[in-house]
Amino acid sequence: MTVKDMVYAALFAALTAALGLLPMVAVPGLPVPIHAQSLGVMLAGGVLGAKRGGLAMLVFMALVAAGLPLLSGGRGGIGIFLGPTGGFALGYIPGAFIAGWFIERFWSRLNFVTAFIACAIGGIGVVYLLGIPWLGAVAKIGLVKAATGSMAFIPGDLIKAALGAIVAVSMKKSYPMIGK
Amino acid sequence: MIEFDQVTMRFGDLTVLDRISLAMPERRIAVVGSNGSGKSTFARLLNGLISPTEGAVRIDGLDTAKDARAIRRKVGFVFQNPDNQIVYPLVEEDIAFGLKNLKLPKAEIAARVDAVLARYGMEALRQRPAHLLSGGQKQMLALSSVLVMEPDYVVFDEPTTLLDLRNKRRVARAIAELPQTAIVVSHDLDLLDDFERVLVFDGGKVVCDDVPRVALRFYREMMAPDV
Amino acid sequence: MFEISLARITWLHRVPAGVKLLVLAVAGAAVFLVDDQRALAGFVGFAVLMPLSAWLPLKAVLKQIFPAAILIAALAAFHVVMGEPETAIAVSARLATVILLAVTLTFTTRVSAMVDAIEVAARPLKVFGIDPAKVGLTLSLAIRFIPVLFALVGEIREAQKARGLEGNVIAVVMPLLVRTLKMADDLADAIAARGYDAE
Repeated sequence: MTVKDMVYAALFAALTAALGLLPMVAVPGLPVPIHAQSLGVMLAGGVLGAKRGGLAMLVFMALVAAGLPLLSGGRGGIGIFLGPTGGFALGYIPGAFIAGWFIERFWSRLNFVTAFIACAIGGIGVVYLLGIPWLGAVAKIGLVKAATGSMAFIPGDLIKAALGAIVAVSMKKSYPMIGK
Repeated sequence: MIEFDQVTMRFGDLTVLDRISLAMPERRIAVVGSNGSGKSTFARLLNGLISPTEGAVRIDGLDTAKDARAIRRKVGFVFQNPDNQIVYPLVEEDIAFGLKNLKLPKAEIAARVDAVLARYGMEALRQRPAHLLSGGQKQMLALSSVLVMEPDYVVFDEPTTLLDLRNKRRVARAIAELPQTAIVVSHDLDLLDDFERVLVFDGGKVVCDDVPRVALRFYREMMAPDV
Repeated sequence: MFEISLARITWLHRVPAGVKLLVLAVAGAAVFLVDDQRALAGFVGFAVLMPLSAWLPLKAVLKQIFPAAILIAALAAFHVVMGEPETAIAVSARLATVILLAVTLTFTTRVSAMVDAIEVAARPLKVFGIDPAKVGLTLSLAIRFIPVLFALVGEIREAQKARGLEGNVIAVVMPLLVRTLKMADDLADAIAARGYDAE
């Protein structure tokens, strides 16, 4: 780990915490409001790439586990990871890494579509891949019920992936970080 | 003594410093110039944060590009924005950071932290989270965190730009009282009257190099708005 | 600063963070392995007794566990409707145990002690080339910069409000990212200038 790796990971962890200050956005037709904070996964991966993005989420979650009330609504503590939705929170870490990995692969031809795919695979696919089985097992409701119950969040997450993609593409133009 | 030997600095196609040669035995050196004149690059060369594209920078005979570790001990650096250089959440932890990097024994770290806090009247702030300090207190913390390492030279990159008048004067007085050699990059010309030497940068070259009375007048005229 | 309050110091506050983490890990694992209802009741009793013995502020505790409590209630109701009241009891007893113990840990332990415990826990990672001191420095940096980033978000929102862009997430996020990246460059320089050697 270089000094730059440490600094980027720490600052994007702090940035993800700060995103929790932004008000929730209610989108017409969506059952649940959108938290800007979970954009942090896609921003970390989409702007910093795989390694630094994954590290940033690892640092963020370590601080939450250490007891800082950084999640929207002022929640924190190790209990976040032990409850039924703990898998989603843990999923942020590989989620940012995988989103960043795809952003790096797509880097030379990065556009809205490729960036959206990267954000959606990492920030939604990977997160749900951990979150759903965890919910199913801990709550004893089984995979199918856990998956159906989680579907309510998919439309909001798709909007976030779109926002993440727009930001990743414009950051590539104004402040490219991959390969730096 | 600080020596620049035919130093050129390029970032891509952009030449930021162009064949600078200087020998500076003075103890109070000021650097002025417009934004983008190369003065910040000049400052960063002094403690090896960057290395010259061509030529060499030597401090007491040590090459900043080759003896990075020794240079970091010898030359301290205070940045413009204190918020971006305070590393640890608590005041005393931040002051101890550089000392831990010097691998000093615990007892000496504690003694030096105590001494610098007392020196600048900050004993009461020792356990304070850095983000609760005022702008002036933050810059004094940044200064203390560097001075506690006891460098022979201290470089200041616009140390007063973000401060109000009272704190500008506080920082200026702290700089004036330093036993070390100080190299100050600044836009606050009134702070520089007591310096021994002033370099005026423009377009990557030193266009004036003289005592403050002469060099600051030259700079004021150079920067006068076109009529 | 941002700590989840430490209202008063009790015996639990004095137990080292590592010990509390260990108890949480052992109890958390054990509660998922037992099915006997009396044993489960014992776990819940223990988990309720802990926060009580530490005199934790009730209101603040409720704020932390509220979302989890709703979810547990919903899950219990779901299992009851499915005709499995035993599962309902087991699931809610296990989750309640883990969450109550975790909240107690959080309320009785300083963040700095937790960061130290994480640094200690990271020691075995040395074999993978991860330096625990770097882990500690990175966490400290993040804690140091959380209030800085909070202030920055406030500043940018003010500025965008003046331009009528306050509801626009992108108009806040883009300048936030650019300023954060610039800050990262300065900070990396400042760390290097103070003699930090990443090797």
